[in-house]
Amino acid sequence: MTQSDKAPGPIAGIGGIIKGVWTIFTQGFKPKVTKQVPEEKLEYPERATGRVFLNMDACIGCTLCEQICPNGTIKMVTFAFSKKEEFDKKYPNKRQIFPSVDVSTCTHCNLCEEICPTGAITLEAEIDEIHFRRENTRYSPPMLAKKESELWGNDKK
Amino acid sequence: MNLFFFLMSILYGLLKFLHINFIPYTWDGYPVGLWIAYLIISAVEVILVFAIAMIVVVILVYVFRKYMADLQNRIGPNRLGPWGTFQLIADVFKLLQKQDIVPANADRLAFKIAPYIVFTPVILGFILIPFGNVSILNLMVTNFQYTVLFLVAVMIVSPLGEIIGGLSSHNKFALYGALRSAAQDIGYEVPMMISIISIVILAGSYSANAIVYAQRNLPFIIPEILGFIVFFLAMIAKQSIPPFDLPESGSELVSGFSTEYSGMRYGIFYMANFGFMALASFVVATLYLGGWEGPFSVIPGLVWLIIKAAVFMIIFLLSWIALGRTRVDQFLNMGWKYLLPLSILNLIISTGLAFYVGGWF
Amino acid sequence: MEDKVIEVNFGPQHPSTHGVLRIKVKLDGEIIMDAYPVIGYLHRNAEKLSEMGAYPKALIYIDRLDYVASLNNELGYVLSAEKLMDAQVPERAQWIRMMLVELNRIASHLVWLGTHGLDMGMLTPYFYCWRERERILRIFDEITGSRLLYNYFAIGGVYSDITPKAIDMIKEFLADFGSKLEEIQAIFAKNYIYVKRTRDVGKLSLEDALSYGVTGPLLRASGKKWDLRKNQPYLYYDQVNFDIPVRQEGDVYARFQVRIEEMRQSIKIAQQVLSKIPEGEYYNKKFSKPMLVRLKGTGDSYVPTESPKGEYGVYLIGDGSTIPYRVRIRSPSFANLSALPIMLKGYKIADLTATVSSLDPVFGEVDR
Repeated sequence: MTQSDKAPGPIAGIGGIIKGVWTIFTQGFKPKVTKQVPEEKLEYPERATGRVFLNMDACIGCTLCEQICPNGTIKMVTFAFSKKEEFDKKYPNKRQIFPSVDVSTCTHCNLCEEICPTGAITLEAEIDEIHFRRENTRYSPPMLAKKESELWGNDKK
Repeated sequence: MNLFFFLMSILYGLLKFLHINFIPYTWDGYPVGLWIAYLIISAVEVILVFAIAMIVVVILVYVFRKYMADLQNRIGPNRLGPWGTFQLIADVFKLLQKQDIVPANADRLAFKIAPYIVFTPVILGFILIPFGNVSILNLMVTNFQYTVLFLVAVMIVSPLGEIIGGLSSHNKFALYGALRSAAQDIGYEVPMMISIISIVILAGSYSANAIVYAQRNLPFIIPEILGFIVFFLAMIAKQSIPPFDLPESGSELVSGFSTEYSGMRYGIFYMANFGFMALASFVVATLYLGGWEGPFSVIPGLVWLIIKAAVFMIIFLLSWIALGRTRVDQFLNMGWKYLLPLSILNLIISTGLAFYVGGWF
Repeated sequence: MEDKVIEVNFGPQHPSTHGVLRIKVKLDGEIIMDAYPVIGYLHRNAEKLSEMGAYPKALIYIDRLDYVASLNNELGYVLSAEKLMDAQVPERAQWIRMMLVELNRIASHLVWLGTHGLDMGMLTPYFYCWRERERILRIFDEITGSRLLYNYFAIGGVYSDITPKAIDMIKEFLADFGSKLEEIQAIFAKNYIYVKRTRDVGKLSLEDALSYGVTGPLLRASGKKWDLRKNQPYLYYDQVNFDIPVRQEGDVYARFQVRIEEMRQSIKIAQQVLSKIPEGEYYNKKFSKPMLVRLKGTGDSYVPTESPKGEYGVYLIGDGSTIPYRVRIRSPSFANLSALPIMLKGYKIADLTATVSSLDPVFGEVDR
């Protein structure tokens, strides 16, 4: 459409001003759209990309997640188990290395979940990431398998 | 002697409060302890007015923040105190504990004085407004003859403070804010004064009490509708609120003339802004809507004045929240090309009215 | 005061330069004699970082260019990479891409409208625009998992399917956004203060626009009927009906009208697409998980797309290995911003903020 709308003259313009003020004035009677967060809970959809979770039964130690992580957040660590037979029975990870994640530098880009061949590392809807100490932010592989409420309980992190 | 003067001043204050102007004279014609007693009682009254003005400003800031949040579909401050009423006190404490920064190349004395020059006329203005009567108590602070003239003279001083603050800051944005403030002040002072003169002609006297008395039959908004429009727009311009907030345009010049001010100096500018809004609502209510008179005499006069002033405060707040900003040249155009002829026309009309039906007012 | 020309620096920190823009302005009183924009405060090296990893890894950096509406960035890269590798994309994925890109266009124009009001002095329409945008962000949260930076498009399709709950949310949103948009733009459109401030301000003539390479709503507001969705159609845009708004004056008010009309047309497109999405698979299996880091490409390719700011495209050169040889991003805000000095000569300071906000620059894109 190439027509040019003519700009309104003074009388229509002042009518426009009054209409604008009336529109804003009537918004004062509509309900508020904000939530008081510590008292009310926010809901997250199921696909929300929150914190990294690790399923230790499925990880095979291929290190693809470490190679593709854009800022070096994931680092593979060897995880020593006390009894070797118990380890061989439980986990299919022949190399015995698992990813560990620094949750303060993770950008939630989802690349590790996309590239993992077995679907062991996933991002779940766990958004509460406030830590009080910097050394608590590097999560070892068993910590990655648990939820936040199980890890810390009511203590300060 | 000191105890005597102290007791005399209390006595005079109480008598004046109860509508009795009683001045005893000695045998050789001099009033007994007059001058020092009146000095003390006037000082007490001024401090009371200062306190009341501060309370009004605090209430106005709270109403502004909550109402603006209401129109924007959100809740304003609601954590400190019941329904967030202590938020402004917390903000004042926060500003009080900030570092006092004066720019290195700024003019130190002018920089420090400027906020007080902007703030003092607000308090002076509050003294001049007649607050009416509450049953037999007299709440008018003064019976001065030339109230309106003094009010105009006092309102001229505020923009001078803005100019001094902007020019002494050694900052280009503040310079632009100060120049715009000067242009705005000159442009809108003349129509305001001419519309006040038309009211004075109709009422027959410069005193605010006489103007309120002259509106006992009909408020001045009806015969002087043009003057009301001119005065209303000039008041919005003098308070520097949108749509006419050129000197402190938040998004063009970073903060206009108050760019380099931080901490409590900025707090004084902020309070002066809101204080002037309260003062302007009271002045418009007194001059155009009839002051403390009202149809039902069972409701005291003070409450009527507060209701009328509150209506204007809500209108000013709506104008702040809902309207954009004009450009400088369009704004000055409006002042010189449209408001000035309208105010002169209003002056002619009111002079004619005063000739023919002057006795009625 | 003598007649002196003052140079003022509208610095990188300013309440209304949409990001980190620095403009050195020569002022004579209130009239602008010359303006010189300085950029580079947000340079994050997106192109070089994309050339250090596999093809899917570059999507992270491309996402963060125009952070307001990031699916358009991904679309340009993904179409170019698919042309490079001769990939077949299933139909359902193309239709899903179209719908989400149009929703992103609405979100980007809502950000523009809110901040434009703030620059003009109006404090409240900002909140209404953000309230509407919140609903769009919740739709994206439902489908992709993130609100703002998605990593959702993949070479060969999309990573996950849209859920029925998301389709209901989109239908509900599109049904009543039209009336909300009319309400919000009525605050601006006939408002005398706004019209006087934006009419005949920041004019850009057609020859100047074409010679500087300006595209997008600015070109359409200066008189040329050019939209890449109609002139060089990419996804399935030739199978939906929509109009292109064009205006003749080239000032800020014309750009405002063009963008509002574009939002209305986007609603129309999204509704048509929603009714036409076919069933099928959403991700070509040959490019999916085991192959993700082994994708190879040879040759070069460039597919221009129409993002809310203008023409956007990614020029890829592949040399047969899994890492791209060169990733070159053609960002629309950079070209639009280069036309700023001629738009500002002779106008006043107050027009500077009006003009910069009508350009709608996003500095993630300008500085890359």
